[in-house]
Amino acid sequence: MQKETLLDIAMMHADTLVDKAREGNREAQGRLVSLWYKRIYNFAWKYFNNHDQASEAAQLTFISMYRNMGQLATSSSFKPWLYRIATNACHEEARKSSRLQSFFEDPDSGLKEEIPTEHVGDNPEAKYMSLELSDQLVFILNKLPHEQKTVVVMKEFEGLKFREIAEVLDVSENTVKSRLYYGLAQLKKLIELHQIDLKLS
Amino acid sequence: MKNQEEKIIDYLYGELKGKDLQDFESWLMKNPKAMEEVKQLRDLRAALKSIPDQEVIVPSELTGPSQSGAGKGRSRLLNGAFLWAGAIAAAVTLVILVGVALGVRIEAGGGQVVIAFGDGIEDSRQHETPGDLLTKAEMEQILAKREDALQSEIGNSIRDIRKDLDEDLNTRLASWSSGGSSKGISGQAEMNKIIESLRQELQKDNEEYLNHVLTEFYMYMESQRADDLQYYQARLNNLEDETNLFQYEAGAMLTSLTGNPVFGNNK
Repeated sequence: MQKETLLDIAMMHADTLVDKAREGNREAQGRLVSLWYKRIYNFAWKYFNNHDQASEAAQLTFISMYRNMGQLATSSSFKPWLYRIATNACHEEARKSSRLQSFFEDPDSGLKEEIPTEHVGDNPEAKYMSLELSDQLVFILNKLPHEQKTVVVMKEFEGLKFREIAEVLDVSENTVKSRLYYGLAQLKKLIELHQIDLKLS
Repeated sequence: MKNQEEKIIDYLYGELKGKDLQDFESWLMKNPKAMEEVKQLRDLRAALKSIPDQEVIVPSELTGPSQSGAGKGRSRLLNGAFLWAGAIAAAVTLVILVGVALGVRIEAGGGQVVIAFGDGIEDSRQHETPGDLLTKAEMEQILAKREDALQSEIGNSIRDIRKDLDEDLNTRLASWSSGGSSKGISGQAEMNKIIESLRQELQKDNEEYLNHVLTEFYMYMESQRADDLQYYQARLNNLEDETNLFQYEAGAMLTSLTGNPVFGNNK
C-alpha cells in the first residue's frame, strides 16, 4: 500500500473542508479563508508589489468566494476556481488604480518610462545597492504585461500546474507555456537592463 | 511538433520525459546558444525563489463568527481596538458607579495616590506594598466584596423604604380608624388589602430591578471572559492554520522535488 504523503493528507483535509463549505457550513468557509488567505494575498502582492492593493484584492477574492461557493462544481476544482476569482480581483483592482494614475501620468508612457527615475539614474548599480535582490525582482516582475505576470506568478510562486493555469485563464496549455516563456525572457531583459546581479540569490 | 519555446519551458519545468527528454538534451548539446538561454532561465528561476512570502494576518471579518469569535451581527467597529476601548470604558464607568454608591475616598501621600470605596483604606494598604499590582484572584476578591456590599446596601435601602412605608401607613390607618364606623371597619380592611397588594408590588419591582442589575453585571463579566477566550482561540487557530499551510507547502515541495527529473538524473 502506498504511503500517504503530507500533501495527500493535506489535500484530503482540504477536500473535506471544501465539501462542507460548499454545503454552506460557515465554519468550514472561515477555515478555508484562514488556510488560503496568505497564498492569495501573496499572489496579489507579487502582482501589485503594494500591500494596500494586495489586501484589497485578497479581501475581494474571499468575499466573492463566500458569495459563490455554492456554484463550485467539485471540490477538486477549488484551487483553480479560487485563483480565477483572485486573478479577476487583481485585474479589477489594477483597472481601478490605472484609472486613478491616468489623471497624473502620460497614458502612452512605455515600460522603460514607468520605472521610477531614482532606480535608473547615472549609476543604477549603486542605487540598487540599497534594495534587496528580492525587492528588485518584485519591482521588475511588476513591469511585465498583465498576462505574462499572471502566468509567471502562478507558476513560479503559487506552484499551479500548466493545466490548472490554463483552466484559471481559460486558455490552452500551449498559450500558458508561451506566455510563461515570454514573461521569463522579458524578466531576463529587465534584469540585464537594470544590471541586477542574480548571484546575490 | 511543439515549438522551441514550449519545449524549453517543458524542459525547465520537468515536463519532458523519456525519449523526448533525451532528444532535447542532445539537441541542447549541439546548440550552445540554446544551452546558454536555458542556463540563464534556470538562474532566473532560482533567483525568483529567493522572493519570500509576505507575512499577513487574516482579517477576522473574513473568517466568520466561529473563527474570529466575533458575535453575530457585530459590526466591524466593534472588533479589535474598538472592542477593547469599549470594554475598558465600561469597566471604568462601572467602578465609578460603585464608587459613587459606596462613597469614594482619595488619599495622596508617601509617593502614591490611593483611591478607595467605602471603609477599609487602611486594611487594603496593609496588604499591598507600594508599586504592587493586583493579581487576578485579588481583583476577583475585591469585586466579590464590593458586590456583597452593594447587595447589602440595596437590601438595607429596601428594608428602610418598607419600614418607612409601613410606619406611614399605620399612622394614616390609625388616624382614619379613630373616627371609625361599621362601614369604616369594612373600608379599612379593604384599604389594608389594597395597601398590602401595593407593597408587594413595590417589593417585587425592587427585587426585579436588583436582579436585573446583578444579571447585567454577571453577563458583562461573562462576556468579557468569553471575549478573552475567543481571542486566544482565534490566535491558536491562526497558528494551527499556519502550521497546516506549512505542512502543505513542505509536502508540495517534497512532491515537486521527487517528481523533478532533473533531480532524478542527478541521483
